[in-house]
Amino acid sequence: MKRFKFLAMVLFLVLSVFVLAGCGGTDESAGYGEEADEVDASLQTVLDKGVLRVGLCPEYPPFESIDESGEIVGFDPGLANAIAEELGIEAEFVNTPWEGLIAGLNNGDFDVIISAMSPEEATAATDAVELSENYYVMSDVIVVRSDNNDIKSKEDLAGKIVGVQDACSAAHAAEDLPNHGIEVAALNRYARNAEAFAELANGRIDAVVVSLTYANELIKNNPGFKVINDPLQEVGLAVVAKLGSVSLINKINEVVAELKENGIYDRIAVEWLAAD
Amino acid sequence: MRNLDFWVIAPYFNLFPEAVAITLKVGIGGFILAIILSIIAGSLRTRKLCKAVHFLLAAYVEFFRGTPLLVQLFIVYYGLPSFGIKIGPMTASIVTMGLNSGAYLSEVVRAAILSVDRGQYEASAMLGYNSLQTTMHIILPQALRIAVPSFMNGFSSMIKETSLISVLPVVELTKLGNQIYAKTYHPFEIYITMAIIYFVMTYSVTFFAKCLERRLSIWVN
Repeated sequence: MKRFKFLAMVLFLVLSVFVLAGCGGTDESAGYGEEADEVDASLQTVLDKGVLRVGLCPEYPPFESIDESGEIVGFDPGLANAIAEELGIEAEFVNTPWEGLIAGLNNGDFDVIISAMSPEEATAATDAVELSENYYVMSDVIVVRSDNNDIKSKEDLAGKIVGVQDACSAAHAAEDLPNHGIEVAALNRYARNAEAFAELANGRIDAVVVSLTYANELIKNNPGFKVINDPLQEVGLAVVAKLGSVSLINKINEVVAELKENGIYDRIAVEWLAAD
Repeated sequence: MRNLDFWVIAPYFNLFPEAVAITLKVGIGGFILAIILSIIAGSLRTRKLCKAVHFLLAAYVEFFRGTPLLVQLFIVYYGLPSFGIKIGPMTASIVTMGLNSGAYLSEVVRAAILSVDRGQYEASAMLGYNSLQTTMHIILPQALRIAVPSFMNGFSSMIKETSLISVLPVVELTKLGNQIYAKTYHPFEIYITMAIIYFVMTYSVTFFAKCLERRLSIWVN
């Protein structure tokens, strides 16, 4: 009996811990795993909420980064704000690590990803996504130290140590090099481009493959690097939503086309991507 | 060698207090949960109970000690929603860190309880204490005093390990550092600043632990 009392008390404590933990959690997994058959409510849901929640990883200037007040700024947030404004609602940014973006989308942490993500990157892990038309096309290029004179084209990467951000289009481009007869000595993968460039500056690797847009932003502040303009591939960037969010994606396609027409898109591009 | 320039990160200093607050919130929240879990699991494991309870407790301790915290964080935050269990990133961080540290500390509590002299049990039985009263009033107070240094050690580990929650959508100190780094490309200046902040936090804990130990040893003598 005494033992029973002791156990009951312990059980109560354990349960109360879980209940307390539950209080901080997000609300019901609304619509989790629910398929849109006839009428897909994704657009209406967003309009009703009055907020378009956008997931992005602010470690990829000039597309997205944090500013000195901690706000997420860049081309993608600019575009997201413009899209939201056209819809008559607000955009809200959810600061999420790159590797957590698709998972976060599926968990309902946000409605769309606008984080310089290409269709290939979005579908690498899962087909359960809805993609917009490409809102931007960039190319993946090679960046080397300014004093490097033996890498002048992608063929020169043969026998060199190349760094990339893992699980992104530049990594795919670098992986594809052997198919073009270019055998690199090693392909080093980093969690973020910033780390790959620290390695490049430290001399542990010879080159980094990254988008031209990112490279241009980088060399603006870092004379120690230069861009080799021999594109490895072209990459489109798309808005990514959960599978079945057809009405939302269609609307976004429509709005982006409008923004391109009325000059707002160009204004945002000039503001953030002027180096292109 | 490149010149060091701490001024490049100066404009971002105003972002540090919030990140430090999140780090401390997860560290302290996780630690409180760890203390509760470790006392429950640790004291239960020293008692003779039914096999199922022992098995469950052993499974808990061995799972959380035997797998990396990073993997546990991924499972809890990104994996569990597949089963409909969806918790926010802060809660996921606190719960995972608490469960993880609780598993380690429960062994500390268990060892501390076993180190209490057998005579104490006999004496309290003679005085008419039942098993629960013996544990609560006689054994645990002595055992926890023995466990204090290890607990403080666990707390400072916890603060350092919060850097791992940067894989979740939580902007704690390490994530903030990475995001500033992505903007400024000054790794040494940023990471040394972060190291100093972490050190100040853990050293304060160590300092507090030393004072506490001194107090407790006076009390014993």
